[in-house]
Amino acid sequence: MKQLVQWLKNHWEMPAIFAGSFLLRFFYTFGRLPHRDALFYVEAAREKDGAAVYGPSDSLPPLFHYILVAANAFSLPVYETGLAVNLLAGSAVVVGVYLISLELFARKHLAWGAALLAATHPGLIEYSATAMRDAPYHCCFVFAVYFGIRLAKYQTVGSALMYGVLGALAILFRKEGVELLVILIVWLGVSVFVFPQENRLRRLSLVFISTVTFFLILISVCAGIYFADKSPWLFHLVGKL
Amino acid sequence: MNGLLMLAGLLRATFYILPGLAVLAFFNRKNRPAMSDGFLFFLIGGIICFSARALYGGFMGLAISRYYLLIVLFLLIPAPLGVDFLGDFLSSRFKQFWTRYRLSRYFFYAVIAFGCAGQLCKAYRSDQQQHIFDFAEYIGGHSRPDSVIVDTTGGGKWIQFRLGNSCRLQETRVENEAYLDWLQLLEAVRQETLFTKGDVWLLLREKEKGTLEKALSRHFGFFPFDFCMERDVRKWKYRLFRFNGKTGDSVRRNFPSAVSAEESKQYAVDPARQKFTLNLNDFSVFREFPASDFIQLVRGGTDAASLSGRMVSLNLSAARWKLRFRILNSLAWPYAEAVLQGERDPSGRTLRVSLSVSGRLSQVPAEYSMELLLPEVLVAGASPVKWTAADFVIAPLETPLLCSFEKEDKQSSKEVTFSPGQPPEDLQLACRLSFYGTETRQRVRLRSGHAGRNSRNRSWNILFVNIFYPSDRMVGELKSELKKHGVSANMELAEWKGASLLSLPKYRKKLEAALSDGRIDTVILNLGQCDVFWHLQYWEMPRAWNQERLHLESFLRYLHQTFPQVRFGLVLPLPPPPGESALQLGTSSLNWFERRRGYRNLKEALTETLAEGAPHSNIGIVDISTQGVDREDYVTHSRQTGVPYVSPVELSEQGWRKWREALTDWLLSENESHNSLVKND
Repeated sequence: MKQLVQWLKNHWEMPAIFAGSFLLRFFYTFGRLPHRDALFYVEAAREKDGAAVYGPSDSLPPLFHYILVAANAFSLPVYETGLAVNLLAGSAVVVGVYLISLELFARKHLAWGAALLAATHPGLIEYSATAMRDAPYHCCFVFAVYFGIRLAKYQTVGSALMYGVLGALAILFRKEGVELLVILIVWLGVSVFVFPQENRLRRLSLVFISTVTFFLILISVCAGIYFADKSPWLFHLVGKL
Repeated sequence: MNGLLMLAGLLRATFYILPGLAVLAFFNRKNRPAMSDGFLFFLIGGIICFSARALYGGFMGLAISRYYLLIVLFLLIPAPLGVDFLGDFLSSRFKQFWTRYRLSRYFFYAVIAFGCAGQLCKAYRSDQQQHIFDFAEYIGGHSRPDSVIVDTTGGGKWIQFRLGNSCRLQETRVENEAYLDWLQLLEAVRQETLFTKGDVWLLLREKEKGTLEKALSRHFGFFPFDFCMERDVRKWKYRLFRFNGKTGDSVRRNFPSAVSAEESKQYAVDPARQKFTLNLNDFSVFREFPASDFIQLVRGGTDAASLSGRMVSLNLSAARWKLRFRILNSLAWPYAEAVLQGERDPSGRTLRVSLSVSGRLSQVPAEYSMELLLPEVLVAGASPVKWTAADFVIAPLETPLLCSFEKEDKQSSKEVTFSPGQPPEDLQLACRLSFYGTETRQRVRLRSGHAGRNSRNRSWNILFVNIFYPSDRMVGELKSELKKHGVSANMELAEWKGASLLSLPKYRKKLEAALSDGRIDTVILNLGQCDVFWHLQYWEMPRAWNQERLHLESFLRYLHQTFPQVRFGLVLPLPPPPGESALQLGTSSLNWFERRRGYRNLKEALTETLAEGAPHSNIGIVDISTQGVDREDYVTHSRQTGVPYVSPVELSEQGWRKWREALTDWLLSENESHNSLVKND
């Protein structure tokens, strides 16, 4: 408990930013209608064979669909569950922006400025206040970039692992998450050709860890989906890409 | 308020400049951030994210703002650095001014605060969706369960979402907001008004008020919806209507001769010609039917006689013809039947044709309303009219009085509800109205929701055997179509999975088990909805057919001998659709041609087998493919060929309509072929 209080004292900005962003998004939901696609997702999740209608059988990544399906299975309101996921993820995006800015510029007022701009951005608010895949994807992407920056800066194994996990999650929300893999590949090239030789092995091994984690998570989730639903989503995705 | 919004927009726009300033800050010695590995990673991430979206989005023509949101995130992060740089730059230029008002302290926060305020204004600005809530509230407050919204606005999805599962949606707006699929709207209105048990709501969006309403009225001959509410949103007018239960405007049409009429005509024909075309409008009875009504040949066309619009084409090689038509109003509601009998004299130069029309409706609702409009001649000079119950009597023809007005009022119309189960022949669906000794007759309007006509005689036990695709929809479609014709049917669905047309004889035991208790009087063998030769290439089909044909023929004989009291209907599959890429069935491909030929051979062989003699009289072929799928009869009398498929295994709405109509026609027909009797000399 003491540790938590101490952590909150040292990092009070993050809960404050999260709470502020959450409130902005939460109040935005009142008197507004869900996005059209959100209705489609909700409909598909409610259907018995929704997974066959869209999602795993098509190129749409399945993670958000399965969150809604799980909510339906546990008799939770489907749309509201999706909305809650989006509100939380959308608020977390702002925290991610704050952390990235702090990591890059190491000046708190710049980080606060970036966080405020992200918290009040109309597009980000709009897509956090409905049951879409965008906010969770943005959340995974932003935190993956944050850990990528830490990976590049401090070269820690934890950052490499987190980058892989979040990258895989991002691609399971939206297929554009594959860009994180491209970034990693480019970073591999930079590590080999740009940086001096002394640290090269460590950098390469960290990229390797990230990539292995990335594929491990992705393939295990896809294998799970395949055995559960017999829908080879990954192949569809690769085919589409 | 608008000024504030403009200012907010301007401030927001300046933020797109700030990342550029951040780049300048990067090259500025004083403000330069450390070019760390982390910054390089961020830069790489930003460039890849930007270029991937620019390339893919540009290539795919994606105009979806959320697709580009990630770029916004990458731009937002360095934007405060740009503000900081701008502050420093300005303070160095206007040092005196800057220090005097201590601007260096507040500039950064002021710009960020203004930017955030602008963004919030944009985000929270009302997006004018109140009309959706209003419509949803209205429908929710007035609707019965199992209702449907026919929507042209694109907002129906939201209304349905707010109403939960109590409402179904039938959307007719396709992709682009400006484009309304007119045929789809007509089909939706027709389908829903006929088959929906609950309420039917029509939500129209018009640029000019009344355009769609007028167009619908023009098409149907009347507008079967009552206005409920309207909202103006920007340049659009949204209007909500509710179906008023009227499926035919028989009052205004007033064609008493259609109730029962007979007419004969004589034509001179050229014996050298093979065909003679007869225009049904030659008969005065048909001229009275409105142009929007259409005529349907019961059990489709044959070689001896075929129908196109109101033109009947007769093959002169036959000596006698007897054709049965149904007359349907623009909502596809059958209300009269006609029999056309023709006879050629021995010389072959004269053709005598007689037509009889019976104007009884083919269906009777469980409850229906009649709107009585007094003829003007009766009302003239009687203003103000003070009517009493003694003034007039309303009664179905040749039946005792069922109802009358009980109170004094000025209304010229009254809704009368008859109890369900009233024998329709007794009601005659017309009324006698007496007004001070003057008598007039009025026809009634119908309301949806009905019990079957002659339900005592037409209650069938049908076994629906589906050998190809399990589908409850087939049973549902058939049931609703039969209901429309006043037939109540108990239907059992048997799915013989894995069976095929050619392996049908293997299922004797299953059939025997199903028919053992003698309950079933009709069996429909659905031999496949589409391509039953799915796995065969065209060169394999003749061999497969020849091998199995004898088995199938013996199976049909067996059916006749074992179950002579049961009627069997073989529903032939539809030929494969053209252009199916999975089967390489392009219209020019040999595969497709050969398949079509295969289907023709199949039909001919089956017909030949069944026509061999009386043994197969209880077995009939239901051929959907000859029914055609042109929209001529249903829409504007302009011939437009529809496609019965949406995929090789999925029928389109047109296809479903034809499917159920063909099957119903077969079921309704008597065992003896009364509709297309052709006897050669």
